[in-house]
Amino acid sequence: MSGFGVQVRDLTVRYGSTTALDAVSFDIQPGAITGLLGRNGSGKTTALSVLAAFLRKTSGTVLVDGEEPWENPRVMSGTGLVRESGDVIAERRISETLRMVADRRPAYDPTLAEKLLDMFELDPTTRPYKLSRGKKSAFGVVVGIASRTPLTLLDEVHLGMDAPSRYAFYDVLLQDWLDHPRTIVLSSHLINEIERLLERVLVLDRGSVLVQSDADSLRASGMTVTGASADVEAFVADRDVVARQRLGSTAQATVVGARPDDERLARESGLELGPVPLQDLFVHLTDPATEAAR
Amino acid sequence: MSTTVIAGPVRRGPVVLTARWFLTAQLRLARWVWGVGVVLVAIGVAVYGAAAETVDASVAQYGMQALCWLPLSVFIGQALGYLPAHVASGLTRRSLSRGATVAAVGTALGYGVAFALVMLVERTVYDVFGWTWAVGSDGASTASFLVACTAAFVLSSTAGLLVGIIYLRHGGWWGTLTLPLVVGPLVALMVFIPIVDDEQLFLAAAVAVVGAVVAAAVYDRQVRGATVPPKR
Repeated sequence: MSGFGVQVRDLTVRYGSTTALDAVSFDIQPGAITGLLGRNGSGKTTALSVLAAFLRKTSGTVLVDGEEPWENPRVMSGTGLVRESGDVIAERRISETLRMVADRRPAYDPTLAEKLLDMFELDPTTRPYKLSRGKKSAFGVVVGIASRTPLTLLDEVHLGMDAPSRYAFYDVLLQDWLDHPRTIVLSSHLINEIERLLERVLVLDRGSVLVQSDADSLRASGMTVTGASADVEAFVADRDVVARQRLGSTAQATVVGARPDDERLARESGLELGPVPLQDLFVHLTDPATEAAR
Repeated sequence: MSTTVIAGPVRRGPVVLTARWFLTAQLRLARWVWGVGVVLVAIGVAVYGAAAETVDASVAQYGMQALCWLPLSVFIGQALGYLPAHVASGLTRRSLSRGATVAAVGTALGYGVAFALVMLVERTVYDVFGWTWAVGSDGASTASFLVACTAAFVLSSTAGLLVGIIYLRHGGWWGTLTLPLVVGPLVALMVFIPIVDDEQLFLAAAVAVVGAVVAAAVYDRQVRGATVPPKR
């Protein structure tokens, strides 16, 4: 498998008296697309910043491709973090910044960059400070994808992008990952949109790891139940229901936890069982009430 | 499946890449500085020649202060704003410190050479009109004056880097409080260079070089531990 793997053990990051990450441990599988999910202030950006050597850990061990990333030329050269619209010099033309990236990223693909600039309708002679919010994010995406770093970290890069641009970004990211496998970590609040891209999921909450799992297993930890309202309510009566929807006489409920005879009971009741949306699971997992019950 | 690496252009070392990035901005400023400066010197010489009974001093020498302040202010801005882009492009803080310092010294030396060339042209013009050309005080030679000025340029460039990184790491209050400490010696040099003799000019140059070395060393320490600030 291509791409850097990551091993983090007991990572703590403090900003003065605030603990952003509290002895977290997690692994990021090389070559996989991992979703890094969490509510605002959960520590996602801090975790990504440590991996990319943007900031120093307070304590713990962080290994990117087997080495600590801080001031490590090899690891830093192979790790790319794009935060929102990227860290670029806003007064330099887009073409200048891409030349700078080309000089510094061994796997940078200028043809792909050009294609992405066309796709997002970005003029290479423009300076980023003149761009709209969404266009700035699009430029960040261009840099992130075209750099083809073995560890690519994309932190809320979709901000301000319209829906067509976001879906174009997801499509090109997936296709390029298939053509040039590498490790990608995608942090986003638009879980419904990125779900189809994810092989693995890491959920942070208040500076700790809540869930670390492959996406399919996580989805299999729950299910949607769809059918006639009364039958659905009867089926889920004694279950942990995380979401409900109703349309006329039809209802859909999302439940956590599966039982051996679920399929038989559903068939007998004329109900349809389906996979659970990751977003519903995420909201349930990070709900303070759920946390208290845990 | 293995990653296909598309070969990019020949990659220079990180220090060279960094120095080139800083120097590009300095060159853009230098075009304007020297372009406008030469015009101002020409106007100054013309007015001096027309208005004064006796012409016996260089006009260009008075550009020394501007040539200290301008690169200093640009290096402050670069040190303040460049760190995130540098780290985000995969280079280490060590290469930033080295590359920026190389650029600072290179800019200063370039300014020194350009300053000397402008003075050479000015002296030629003075010779044509039969005027007396001199720089600094009575006991100062052109060579020692230029050496002292160039050393002051080196100090101003490295001081600019230091001030910028202090603003970045420690915020506006500390940056402003530290400013007199860093820039104070530079101001003293600007006052003394035009009025002291040869021996004192070489001493001033030595003080400027020591100051530049200290500024570069402290800048290096500050950069090595710098965090990339959060996005706003």
